[in-house]
Amino acid sequence: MEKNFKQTSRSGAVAWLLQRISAVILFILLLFHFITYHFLTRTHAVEYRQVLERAQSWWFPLLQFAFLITALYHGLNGVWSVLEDYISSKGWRLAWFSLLLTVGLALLFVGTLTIIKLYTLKVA
Amino acid sequence: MAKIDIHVNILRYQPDSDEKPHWQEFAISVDDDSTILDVLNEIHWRHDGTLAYRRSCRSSICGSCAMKVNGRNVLACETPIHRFGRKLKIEPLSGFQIIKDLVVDLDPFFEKLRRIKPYLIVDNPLPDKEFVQTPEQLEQIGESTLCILCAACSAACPSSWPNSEYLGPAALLKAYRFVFDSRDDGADDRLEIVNDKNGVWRCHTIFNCMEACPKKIKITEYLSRLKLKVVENSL
Amino acid sequence: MKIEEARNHHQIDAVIVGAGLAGLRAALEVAKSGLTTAVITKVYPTRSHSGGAQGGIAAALANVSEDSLEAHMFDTIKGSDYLADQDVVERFVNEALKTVYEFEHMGVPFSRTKDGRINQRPFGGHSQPRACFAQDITGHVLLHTLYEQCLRHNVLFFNEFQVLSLQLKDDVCRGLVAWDIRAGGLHVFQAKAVLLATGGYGRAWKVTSNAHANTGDGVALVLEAGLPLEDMEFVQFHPTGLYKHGILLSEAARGEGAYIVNDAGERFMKTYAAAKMELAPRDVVSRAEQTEINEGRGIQGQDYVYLDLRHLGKEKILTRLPQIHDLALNYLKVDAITDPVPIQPTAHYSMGGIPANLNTEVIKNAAGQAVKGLYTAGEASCLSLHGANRLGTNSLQDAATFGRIAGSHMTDYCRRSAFADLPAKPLESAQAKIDRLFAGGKERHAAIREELQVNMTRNMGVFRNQDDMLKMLAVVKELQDRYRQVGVDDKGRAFNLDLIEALELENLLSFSEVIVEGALARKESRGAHFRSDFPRRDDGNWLKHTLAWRRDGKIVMDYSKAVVIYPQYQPQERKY
Repeated sequence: MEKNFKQTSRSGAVAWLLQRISAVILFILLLFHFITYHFLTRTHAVEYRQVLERAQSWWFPLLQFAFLITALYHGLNGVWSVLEDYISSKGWRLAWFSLLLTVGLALLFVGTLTIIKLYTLKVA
Repeated sequence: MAKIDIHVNILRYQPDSDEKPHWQEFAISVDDDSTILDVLNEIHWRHDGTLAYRRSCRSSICGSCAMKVNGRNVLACETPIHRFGRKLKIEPLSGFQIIKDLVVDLDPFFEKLRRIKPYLIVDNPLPDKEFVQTPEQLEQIGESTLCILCAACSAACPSSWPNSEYLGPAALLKAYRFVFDSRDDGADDRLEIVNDKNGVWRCHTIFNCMEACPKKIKITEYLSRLKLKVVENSL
Repeated sequence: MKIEEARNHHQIDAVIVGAGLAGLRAALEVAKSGLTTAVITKVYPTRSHSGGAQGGIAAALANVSEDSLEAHMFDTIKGSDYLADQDVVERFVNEALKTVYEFEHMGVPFSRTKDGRINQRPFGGHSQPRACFAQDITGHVLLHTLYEQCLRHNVLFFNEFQVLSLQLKDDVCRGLVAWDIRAGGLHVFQAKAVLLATGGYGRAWKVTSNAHANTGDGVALVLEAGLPLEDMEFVQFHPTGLYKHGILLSEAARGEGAYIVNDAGERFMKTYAAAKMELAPRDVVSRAEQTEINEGRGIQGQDYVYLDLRHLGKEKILTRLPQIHDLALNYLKVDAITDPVPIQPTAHYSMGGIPANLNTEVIKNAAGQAVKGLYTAGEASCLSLHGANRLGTNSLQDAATFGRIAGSHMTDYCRRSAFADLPAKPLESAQAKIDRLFAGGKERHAAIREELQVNMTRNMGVFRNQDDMLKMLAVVKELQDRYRQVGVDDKGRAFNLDLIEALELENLLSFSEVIVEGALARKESRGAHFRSDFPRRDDGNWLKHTLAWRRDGKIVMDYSKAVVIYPQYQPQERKY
């Protein structure tokens, strides 16, 4: 028992630190998000053309991708740390970890696809 | 000082006869400036001798009488009944095995303390007189040495409830107390021990420990400092 | 209930009863030598009442003033009203510095001077600021530090065990029998050396600073084993007990400058000890307080006076005396920063106890013959270091220093001796005590204890006289009779608090008789023993220690001369 816990011990520190770093990044990204979406719009009404233009500027997919990665990591890592509190059996832990990983990868795939699609969409 | 009538509900468990814990109500008359411990003594001495609880110093320094009163972890000896009104609900600390009535098994609690090497480790030869330690250096650990090991914090910690392996706030606070002692050379060892999924990383900064601490020690804050120290040390 | 064979039979080199400062310090010393060492304690070690000591531990470090061993020695002897044995005091002051430095090296968080050395504060009866302290939780941090060191050195702990009999035969101690409080059941401990460090006996009083646990169990065990007790009549009343509760408010408050005032707002100590004022020794201050109260100058004519900290200011109160502030607030709803705190004298420290020689070996007669393998230290013991009155902060030092000395003598003794055979039927007397209480009569222990305590406070307090004491003697005898009919409500084995309290009561009743008899016989006033009918100290007849045995149901007494060896410490008038 003791030994198993020791093996994961490093990740305890890393996970904790990354959770805090990702939180800070998320906060900054959210600020960006609010500024770009709500304060930099030139007209009162939101227009399709304008949205697409923004979505296809060089920085937009980078920002969105950063958002996607950080949010996924932060959220899933949070859920994982809760699960670790309540699940002690190795088997169940593995099962849940696999599930979270699968969900994470799936969402990453869908998210990435969306970002790419938005970037490559032809303006009508 | 006047007498008042109060209703006391106590979670009873007599291992010889009870399958599981159950509530028992006592209607008694006590002085209005009584403490919870006075109430328990009154019941034990004059109403029901079978009631079991721990107590010793009466002056909130020995840590024997931590228990849950109306949902809060308190030291029975220092807690006046007027804080709760005329209805009292007294039960043992959560998260520990009940031995009998309000007496819980604290062996695991003390065993965890042992694991973090709770003693000053000095590598260099000892000085002839005292170590020099400035008031500022002492200040780092001063408050943490107030801990009376009453277990109120660990019993209030949601991270401790589902996981009996978690070191818990008291043992981690003790680790802090030595890691941050300017005289100690055992930090590396101790940080390695608490750098564990069942060590400092199971603390999710819930603050329950701090709220429960009868000595008002800022446990959560010290645990956060300990986490930073672990990160500094291991990265 | 029969002994459950091997599981409940332990063979351990050194068995230490009591996990306070003396017990743990001794245990640490023995354990370091590699011998098997067990501590038997009725509460978890960190719950021991040494933790209740607040103000400090005395040692002439001279960190903040000029100080000397000679000054510490003189203050202690004068404080004792010249009854202290001077060879013991000498040993004590010589070892005191080492004890404090050792503690510091173990990690005790002593409060510091600006340049990082151990800080020291003034204390009653000490001519220099000599009390090394950690805020006002000195005993607490010393106790926890020692416990930590014991864990490090693998001391075995038998937590929540109540010792019921000593196994003594032919003047050799062979072990003891104890009741496992948690699970129920008797255990036999066979040992080469046994230390009794069971603390004081202040629980015999109603108004007391003592913990529930301080029922003088070791003292009673010794008496039961046919050995004498020494100077039991000397019990110190602490002047600053929290009103009604008796809970200790440390002398450190006065060390930091607090006043004691009567109803007129007068610092009345000026009429009793003009030079030292509030920092006179405790017996002097308690008598002054009780006199004020008796003569109607208590607050609003009631039975208390005020401890006034207000002029110290918020910062000093909260940084130097936080515990005192909390206690007054929690128990009396008095904020010491803005209001004076009601106080009264409270039974506090037992100067008397189990007689022992300089090596902490228990002695069996006035000639000083020792019992082999039986040791004692701390408040349970009477060496006699404190004589008729102890100075504040000398008790922690006493417990730790003589704990260490006991440990080293026990180590030597264990190394050169084999386990002695236990007497036949070791369990018999312990079993009989338990069986009788389980079989039970109609008397209840709580009622008897209450009566004992109320009467002890009334008749055996700060001021004593023959009439009161004779009344008390009658009460004790009557209560001893009634005790034979005591039965317990709780017939279970596990954590039977009812049973433990009944067993403790037997101890209280047993040694209380010795206190009263000793006090009746001592027709003088010395230190904490003050008789209104004999208000003078009488060195011609009474510069001697009381030794008292129970023989055939009666208390018999003998006396041994106090050790006075130095011309500069001859008895003289004691003024402060």
